[in-house]
Amino acid sequence: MITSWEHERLGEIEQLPKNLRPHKVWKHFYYKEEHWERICKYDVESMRTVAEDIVGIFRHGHEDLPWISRKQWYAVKKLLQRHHDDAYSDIYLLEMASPNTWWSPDMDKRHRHQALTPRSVFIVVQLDQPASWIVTAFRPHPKTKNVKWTEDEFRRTGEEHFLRVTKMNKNDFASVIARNILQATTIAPESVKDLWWLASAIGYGRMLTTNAEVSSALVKAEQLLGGVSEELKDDFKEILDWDGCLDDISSGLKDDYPEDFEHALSDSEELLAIANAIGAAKEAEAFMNSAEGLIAWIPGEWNHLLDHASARIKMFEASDSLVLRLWGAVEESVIGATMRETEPVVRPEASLVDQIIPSDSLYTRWINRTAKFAGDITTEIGQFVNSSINAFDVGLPAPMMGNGMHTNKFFEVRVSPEEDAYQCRVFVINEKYPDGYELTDRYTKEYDYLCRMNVNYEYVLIILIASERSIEGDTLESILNIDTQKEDIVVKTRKISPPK
Amino acid sequence: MSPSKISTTWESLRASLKAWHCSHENHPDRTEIEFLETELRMMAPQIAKAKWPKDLIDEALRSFIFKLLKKPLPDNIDNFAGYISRAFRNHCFDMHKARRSKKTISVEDTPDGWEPVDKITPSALVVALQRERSKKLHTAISKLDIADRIVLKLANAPEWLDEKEVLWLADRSNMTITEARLALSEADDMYAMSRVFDPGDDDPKDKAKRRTRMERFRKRRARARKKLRDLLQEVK
Repeated sequence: MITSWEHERLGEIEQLPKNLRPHKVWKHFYYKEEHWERICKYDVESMRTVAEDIVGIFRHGHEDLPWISRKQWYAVKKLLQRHHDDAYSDIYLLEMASPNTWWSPDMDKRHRHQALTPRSVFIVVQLDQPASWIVTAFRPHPKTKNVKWTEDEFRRTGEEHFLRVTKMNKNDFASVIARNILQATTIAPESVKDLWWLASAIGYGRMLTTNAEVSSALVKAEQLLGGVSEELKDDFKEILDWDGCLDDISSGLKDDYPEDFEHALSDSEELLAIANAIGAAKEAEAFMNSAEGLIAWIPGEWNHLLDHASARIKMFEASDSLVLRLWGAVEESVIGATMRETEPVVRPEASLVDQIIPSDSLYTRWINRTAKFAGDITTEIGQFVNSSINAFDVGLPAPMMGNGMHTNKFFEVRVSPEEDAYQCRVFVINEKYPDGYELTDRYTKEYDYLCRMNVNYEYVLIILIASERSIEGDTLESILNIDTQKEDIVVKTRKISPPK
Repeated sequence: MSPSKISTTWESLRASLKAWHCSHENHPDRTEIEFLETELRMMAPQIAKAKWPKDLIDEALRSFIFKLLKKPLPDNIDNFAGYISRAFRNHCFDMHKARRSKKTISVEDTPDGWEPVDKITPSALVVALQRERSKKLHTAISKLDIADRIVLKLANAPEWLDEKEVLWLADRSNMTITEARLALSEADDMYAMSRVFDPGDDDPKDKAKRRTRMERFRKRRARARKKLRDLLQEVK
């Protein structure tokens, strides 16, 4: 088993890093549309089935591993690692080492190289020290539904994809497109496959009509397209996998590395170009409306995409294609993410808290808030606060001549505090004073009662705070918030109900 | 919208969540949940809020916070805010995909686990390149004309419009600064944002005029981006 390979110019290139392997095996090696079984000696389907059994879902329709329980994750991770080491890495490393592999001539803005192997495995290499390493390895294929593409067609797609993503100079790119147009016009389209190559070449060609080579090649291609039956065009529109492309965009954005997302953008660009050629404007518009909402989430760390998007916009700026809207969305997303790197001037209002925390009563909120200060009941101060809070009592005011109404409306909270061995603060919470009303001045033996409360209250809450030191803070909230005394204070609460 | 002043921090929230999952006695309090919700709201890009169905972000927020309260997070998270940001973004994608395929996701359906923490960190080289590019971009944004900067912020980061920029909008629309802030906080889609920038007198119910306005706003943003592109060529 080989784990790295020495490129004559780039030096040592290591296989995928360990933690990326399970994700890439699931995403690419198990992906039926990539047909890895055609280029390796392993039974990929059986391998996939074993993994699916552990994960509990089918790979089809699930581009990413779901967030499973830790136990399941460890089990499947081990298996995926093994499938990587035994099969996937062997293929991509051996393929990469082939003398016929194409390499991008220059590194890109993120210091990466792209490679296309003879059997159409597309590899991205991150240049690094002490060794460079592979970020992803996948097999490009037309973004279609229900079409079985041959290995020759995989090779053609791979080449077109490689040239599209590595030729950033407008004239070089236009030459590639002119070549594609000439290749696509060698036969009149009779199947959706024939039409794919022609529509793709024309779609790109229409965005580059200022180039003489392209505009001259386009003449014959447009004539051929004009001769395609409406029936074939309708069948063709059905195979364009817009939903799959949206899934690839969101899956790519979930990754820690941008390479699969970049590939999804490249596929989106091609579908939009094809849609322009074939008259699928409605589908393309709907796709862009959805895609913009996803592309908006590009993380700030992927700001190299701004350069790529800007280059694509410059390349196609003479056209009015939706492709410009795609790259405009990428540009805008990176700009937005950069703007959001600083602190905002205003913060949006939170509105969901009542739906998330069961509507606490006023009293429960304070009981929860003070619970962490309950102290240790076995300590002296703990015992003091405990017995002090239990000393509170209630009673009705003594009847007075001619003042019967008074006795019906109020009840008294009474207490006869112990000698002041500790510093104490006392607060009462009721609907009128939801933040607490301080009664410390009345918490002495001199007064007959601490306070009078309306009998209509179901109950009121008494909060007693004690400390060996002076208790700082003007309000109940501020007392609980002073960091330097959090360790010193002991707090107890007690609900007091009117006498029955 | 409220002024940007906070007392809860990501670390205090993390401690509260951990305590809650250990004892199930005191769940994070209201201010902590409010902090979390506002932070998550700011992570959701304005364009996603404008493009996605109105209730989708709220539903994603609600179910994500419920998941945080229900399922303990992995222990070995280095960058808590970064981890939550990634997990929330991925949760939004799952919700969006389910909505596209007309499935419903309840809190009970949310995955059992959390994103693995053990993914690799980018190489020092990649981080250095990102930082250099970010610095350059910030410089170019600050050099944009105020109208260009505002039009890009309106579409992408309205909470980041500073006093000077809001005053510019207020002057342009004959509003007070408070009225302009209110209009911004009430603008819940791109059309409403475009009206804050360019009040006009078109009828929101007229579809054709609405489309024309949106196209005009899109082209205005494209012009601002073109100027930014040119500035980026100049910035060293």
